[in-house]
Amino acid sequence: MNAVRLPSSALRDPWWLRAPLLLLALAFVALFLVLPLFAVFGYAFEKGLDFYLASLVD
Amino acid sequence: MHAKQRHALPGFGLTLGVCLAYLGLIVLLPLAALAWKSASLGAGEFWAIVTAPRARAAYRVTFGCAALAGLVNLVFGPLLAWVLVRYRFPGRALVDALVDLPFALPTAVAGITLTALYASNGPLGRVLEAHGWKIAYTPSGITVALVFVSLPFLVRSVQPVLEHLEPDVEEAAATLGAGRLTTLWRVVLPTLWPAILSGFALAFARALGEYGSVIFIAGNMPMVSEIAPLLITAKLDQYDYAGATAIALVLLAGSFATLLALNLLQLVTVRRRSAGAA
Repeated sequence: MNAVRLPSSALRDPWWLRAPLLLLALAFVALFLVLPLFAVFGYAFEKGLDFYLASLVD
Repeated sequence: MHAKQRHALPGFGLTLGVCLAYLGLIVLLPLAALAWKSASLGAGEFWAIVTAPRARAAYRVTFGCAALAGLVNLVFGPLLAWVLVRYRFPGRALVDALVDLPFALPTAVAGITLTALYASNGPLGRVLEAHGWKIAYTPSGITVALVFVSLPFLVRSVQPVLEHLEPDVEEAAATLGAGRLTTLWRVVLPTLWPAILSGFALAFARALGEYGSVIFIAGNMPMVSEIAPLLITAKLDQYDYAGATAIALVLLAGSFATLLALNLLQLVTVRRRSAGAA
């Protein structure tokens, strides 16, 4: 027996199912989560780090 | 039979008492105050406020956008949960952590950011508007914001169920000759339905009352893109507490009815499943 427990092939989706599902999920994450996250940082540092720090001190 | 029923667990009376007192204090008391406050209006006045055209438009926007956002997440939430639990890909842990972002980000920040992204001069809004789809300051924008804030509810309610799914059933389906799609559709999905439904209920209820992330992107045009929670705030600003609670009661009734319906649906699906298994 193999020491490492491999997931049985019955539980693995075939590639033609895995690829589109993965792509769809990642596209959704990119659009709805990653983009807003980067946008928050983008707008926060838009006017430079100095301005950002000055706003924090204010 | 014993004359007096004894519970196997001691302290039932005490714990029930504490539980009910807590529930009463935190949940029922504010609800009662809500009803009490709006009762200071006469029935006619209450009806007039609740059915005013502007209020009815606001219910339509609120319930419509919340339902639409819930449906979008009904598809993508379980999909994301499936991908996170079953597939191994680089950055999986990062994506898993990102799912909680809408909870971590203050809703007002989320609202401003989404508005900046989807406004006519924003990076996304510019592209979409070139194709004739205006997002910011329309009900579409409200839906986008609600999809954002309510996504974690669906992912996080389905994920643990998937993680604890016994592999035997899927393997049995495979040995019986079911294709992978058939197994997913007829074996895996039915076991997920209760979790999906309760996640949807949470997401929908949250979306109904969501305020912070929506007001910036909504544009708040009365009759078009004004949500009911904003109408409540507007009334509060004018010290019209009774009017505000009247609208709030309608929202509350709507969300209660939805939760009740979803719970009944959940009950039916669970019953049907256990009946089928027996």
